[in-house]
Amino acid sequence: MNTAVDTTQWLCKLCGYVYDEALGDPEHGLAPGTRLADIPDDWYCPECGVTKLDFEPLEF
Amino acid sequence: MSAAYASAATRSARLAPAGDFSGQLEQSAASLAAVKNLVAEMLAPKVIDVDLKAEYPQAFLRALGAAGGYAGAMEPEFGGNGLGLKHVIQVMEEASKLCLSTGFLVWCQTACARYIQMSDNAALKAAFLPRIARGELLVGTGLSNTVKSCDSIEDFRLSARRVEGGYVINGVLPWVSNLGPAHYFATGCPVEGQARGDDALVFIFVDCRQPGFKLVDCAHFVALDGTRTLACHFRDAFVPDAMVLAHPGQSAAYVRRIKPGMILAQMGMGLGLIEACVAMMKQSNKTHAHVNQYLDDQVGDIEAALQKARAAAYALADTLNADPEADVVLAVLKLRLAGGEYAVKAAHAAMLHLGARGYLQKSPAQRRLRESYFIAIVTPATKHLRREIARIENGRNET
Repeated sequence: MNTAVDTTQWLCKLCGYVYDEALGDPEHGLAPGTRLADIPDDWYCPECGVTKLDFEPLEF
Repeated sequence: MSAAYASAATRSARLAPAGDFSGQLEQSAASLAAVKNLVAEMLAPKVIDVDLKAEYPQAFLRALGAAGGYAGAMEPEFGGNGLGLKHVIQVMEEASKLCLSTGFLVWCQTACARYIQMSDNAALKAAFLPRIARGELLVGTGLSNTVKSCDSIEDFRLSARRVEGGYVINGVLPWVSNLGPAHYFATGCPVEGQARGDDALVFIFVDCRQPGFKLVDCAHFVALDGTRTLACHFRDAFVPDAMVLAHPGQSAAYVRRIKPGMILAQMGMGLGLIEACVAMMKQSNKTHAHVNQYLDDQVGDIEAALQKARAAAYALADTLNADPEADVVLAVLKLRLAGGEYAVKAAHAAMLHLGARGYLQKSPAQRRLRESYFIAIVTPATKHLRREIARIENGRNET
């Protein structure tokens, strides 16, 4: 995970799930506005189960 | 399991000594009849719940084991029936005719059993294979990432470190099926400090209850959602040597033994699903043949392809049964590719034959279409198979 990049959307490299910091993930206890860097290390991708180490900045 | 199934399975297991061809035919017919009865009695009422409610068909899977449904995957001394890979495929077909989730779970159970059977770990075989054969222990296979990494498609997601008496495993495997708290599964990964390549891997049999290991239930799929497909988190999980299927230095030969049969056996899913689609098309033609005749894919063509694929699958199964390392890899890959492509074609054709009635939420036609794509995308997926076929046909010069 590259936390030095200024982004608000993160892509799971494995399954393509996008974590949008503006939306958070309320279903899994992450309020809107929660930065990926502030998410606990034991959080996992809701689609495939990998940890946030497998997320990278979403680039278009 | 009813007494009738138990007695049929027990009787069939006693019937044929090894090498007795007519006896084996009779044994196989008795075993498959028991499986068909079980599918009709226990699985048929559950199909929609498995599909729409993600219900795991645990009771059926256990009963199938008790009826001898997994017994082709192991040698008779470990609870097997001596009927081999062809029997494995045929049982998978019977389940897949009705429910691909269950057919896939049969593949998971028998693939893992075969990985153990083909290891050099005699104690592990004796301790686990009879319980897997009877369905008392349900098992999965986490080798998708291992296979794709060996074929240079993606990076290994697990790593192992050699320690006294075993290996310490770290990493995350997504989407491993047929798992649960009391289940086991097989996987493989590179060992730190070893040279790279297929012969530097360790293959292990993992207890889902062991310290340092956690199952994470997160994914939801458009089909096959009742297959208990979970993510596997390893954090400094110690796997003792007693649970090792192949160490570095043994792993390349081990992969050569397990891989062709593992891929070929998946044909059971395709054959079963295609046969179900053929049946739907025939049913539709009873009333709508006058209009169905204008569709591109007709039932006669698909049925002919099914029969050809089935004969090829059974012949290759017999070949691999006699020699797991037989030089049939290219034939297996091409057949498996055709199996996935024909499954999608047959399900698409069945959907078009049935029309709007096939579009209902509980219609098997739309479910078979969703399921068919699984056969085309499960490892080895269509694109993976095409790449491996191209590599072999071009002397491995393709990248």
